[in-house]
Amino acid sequence: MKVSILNSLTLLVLVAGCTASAPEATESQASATQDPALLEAILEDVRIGWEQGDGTPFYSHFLDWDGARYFEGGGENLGLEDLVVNHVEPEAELGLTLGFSNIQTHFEGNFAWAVVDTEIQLTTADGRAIHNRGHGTYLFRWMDDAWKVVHTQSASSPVR
Amino acid sequence: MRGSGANALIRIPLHSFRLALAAVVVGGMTAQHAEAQTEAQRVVEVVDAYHAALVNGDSTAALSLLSEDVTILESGGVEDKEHYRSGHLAGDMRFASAVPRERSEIRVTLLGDVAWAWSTNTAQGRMGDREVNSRGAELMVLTRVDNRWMIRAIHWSSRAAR
Repeated sequence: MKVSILNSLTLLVLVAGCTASAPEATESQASATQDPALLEAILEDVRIGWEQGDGTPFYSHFLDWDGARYFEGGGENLGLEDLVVNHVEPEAELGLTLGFSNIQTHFEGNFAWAVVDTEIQLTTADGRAIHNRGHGTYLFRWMDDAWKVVHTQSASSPVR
Repeated sequence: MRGSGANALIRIPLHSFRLALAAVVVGGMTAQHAEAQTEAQRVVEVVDAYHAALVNGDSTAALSLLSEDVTILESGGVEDKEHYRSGHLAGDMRFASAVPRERSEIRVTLLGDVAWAWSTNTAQGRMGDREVNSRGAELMVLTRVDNRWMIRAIHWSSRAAR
């Protein structure tokens, strides 16, 4: 009986250990919902968050993971709080209007990415009117039954 | 004799079981970590090979690393493979061979058969009659098909260095 209990415990611990060492395998068991509308809804929340200087959609839809980086035009924010406090909030104070259009989504299992056309207008603190068009790339990972933004990159240039 | 054998099993000290258990679990984790590192290195090699092809003006090598449905974003434009082949590729090769670029370490994140790799860079030099002094970021999405990593998306962004 002792052997049986010990073996059962050993098996249990082994299974637990293997599961703990393979989080991706666990996640892949819950298959992602590959619906472009889900990504488009997240991007719309994020767009509004940018315009209103509201970090809520960012904290809701972005995965705040160690190593997260958000790039714009060669500059970068390190982590979610840096993005919200040092980029989203100050830019909204400049009267930012942001347009997302032509959203193209791509799915690969529990990973997805979206490419969007962007249009940006604001007035800098020294009175310079900015009107740019460009593109953004958003990377998503399916976690806990939702798509989470794990990386962003965007760039734009002045409208001529 | 049979009972003796059973007793022998029972007498195996618990700490031996724990050691064996730890060895199996740690061994599994180490093997998985090593595999991830190997795959991340393979991703870096593809990114490096792509840039080497641009510097060397080898359009065939560069295009061979791009999947057929690749999306390339640079300078405010979006191109598919065919448009890139006849569009920005030649200019990218000229730029890569003319302007030295210093790149940060490439950071790779793996998720099964998908990886994304990003890095930052500074470019300083002369392109024709234009002085270049910029810093930028590069994002690539790669997928593994038939054990080969291919580039599915590239996003380059840059700004003038201050």
